[in-house]
Amino acid sequence: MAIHGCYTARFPRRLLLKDFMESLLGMTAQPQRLHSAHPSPDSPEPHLVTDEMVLNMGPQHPSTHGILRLILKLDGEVVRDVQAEIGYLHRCKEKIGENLQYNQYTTYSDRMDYLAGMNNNVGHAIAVERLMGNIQVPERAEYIRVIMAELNRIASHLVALGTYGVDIGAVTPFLYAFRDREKILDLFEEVSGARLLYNYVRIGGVVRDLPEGWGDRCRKFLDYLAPRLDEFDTVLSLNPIFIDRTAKVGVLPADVAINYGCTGPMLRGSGVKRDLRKDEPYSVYSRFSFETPVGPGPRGVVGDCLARYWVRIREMRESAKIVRQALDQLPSGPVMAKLPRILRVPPGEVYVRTENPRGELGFYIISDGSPKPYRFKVRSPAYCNLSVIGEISRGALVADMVAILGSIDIVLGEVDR
Amino acid sequence: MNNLKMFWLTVKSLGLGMGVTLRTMLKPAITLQYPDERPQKPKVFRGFLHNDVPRCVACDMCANICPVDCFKIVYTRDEKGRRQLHRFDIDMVKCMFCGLCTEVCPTECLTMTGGFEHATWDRKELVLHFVTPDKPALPVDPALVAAHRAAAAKG
Ligand code: SF4
Ligand code: SF4
Repeated sequence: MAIHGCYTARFPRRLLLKDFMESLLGMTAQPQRLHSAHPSPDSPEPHLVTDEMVLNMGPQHPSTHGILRLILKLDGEVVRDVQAEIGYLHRCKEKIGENLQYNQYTTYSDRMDYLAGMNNNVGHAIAVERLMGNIQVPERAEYIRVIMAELNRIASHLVALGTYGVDIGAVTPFLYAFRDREKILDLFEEVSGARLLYNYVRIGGVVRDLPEGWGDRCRKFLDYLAPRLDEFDTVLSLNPIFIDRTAKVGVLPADVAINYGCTGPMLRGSGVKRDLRKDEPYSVYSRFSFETPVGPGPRGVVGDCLARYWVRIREMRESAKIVRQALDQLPSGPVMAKLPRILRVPPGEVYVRTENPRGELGFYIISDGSPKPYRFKVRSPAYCNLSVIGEISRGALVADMVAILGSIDIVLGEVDR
Repeated sequence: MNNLKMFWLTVKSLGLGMGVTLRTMLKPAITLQYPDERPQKPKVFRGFLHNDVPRCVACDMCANICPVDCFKIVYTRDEKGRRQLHRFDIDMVKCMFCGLCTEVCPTECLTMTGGFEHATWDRKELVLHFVTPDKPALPVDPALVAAHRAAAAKG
């Protein structure tokens, strides 16, 4: 026993083929813990006493999707504590907002969550419109906004799921996800002229109408997407290895999620049915019928990584449903309200929240009547979702850290703003 | 035997996944061999800026809307009160291709072209001069040309 213990202490257990064969044939009922949590010096095997080790994951780490440093406190392979160090991508987005006119800021809202530029555009535009009070956004513009936001939700989830696959060790689905996302970006490029930073939604509407035949191309894409999502399920979502890596890992109970202010798929994965598009419908969302998927996933428990992943997978189908309905109901008419060149915003304050792919994106703007906001604050969903990482990864293995971090689906541009 | 069942499930899903890969492999490739094959750009593509100087009325609107102050516009008024453009520079290093300036331009002389391949060895080459002493916007007096040259030499 002593020899065996010595052996495993030096080599990670799962590298041993012998162990693999043993567990395959069911010879070892339970894999043994390498060492107890805090072996005392006078335990029978004093040579196995270990210290806590501090390990830096990041700032340059491929699975942090940006620049994030996680300070892990390890006891062997068990994570005792995690501290997320953020700020490496801070670009003063809020301060810039206070130094620019309202209509200049749309170009910066893209850059916060660069995977969901349209959603950010929409959130900012709605916030300023509510602050101004008297703006009538044309119906057609509202529908176009919904179409763009939902398409962007699909694109963002495709990136989230594809990169999650890479984090776990499956590279193929990543390429499929990006291939399909490119098709969405093509659609966006046709309307806005850019592939990442769209700057398409403006205060009072959208900048230009849809080009000729865009609706048909969009429908064609949705027809193309449905079988691709099934393919994606075959390759990744229903793969037993993937499910084993994610089920029952990083469990986030609903009460903890609510206490930490988690929103979006993170909260829904924990079984809380909360979706701002349904609960506080903004724009024209109340006119569409769609489901709010919640956890758990096909296996595992409520609130684990698989549940969060599964919520995203199902949300893509729901978004596709919304886009279809919006395309069918799309009214004709102008796409931009008549506005003065320099926006006159009455003094006051407003907080508007919209459902981003990552959760609740809030804009809090105080106006003092001048052309520039007095205070500009953004509540970013990824920031709040990331804050819970210490809670859910305590007691996990180091190898699962990547799975947990990926399931939160952070965009560091938005965490740091 | 639970583990053997798990093993079988894994192998089966591997086969299914490989089936998807195989089907994708048999489809025609969608890769564009970029420098040889050009991507098709939409009409509204937001590339490098271009100013059609004869139509520019030097109204300064583009410079006012630009969130990052890319423009350097110098003009004077002639005796009839018309604006004469002496300098119209756009610093494409700073530009973030948002397109706000092209939307406010009253004469629509400022447009975004489809150009995007403008890598240079020197950042200074990315400052576009649309009005130079050699091709002035309107006939201007020599003193102003000299002043412009002096300013340009200073950077
Ligand atoms: S595209 Fe935007 S950043 Fe570039 S010059 Fe025009 S307004 Fe300025
Ligand atoms: S907005 Fe147009 S017309 Fe006015 S200065 Fe700029 S380029 Fe010239």
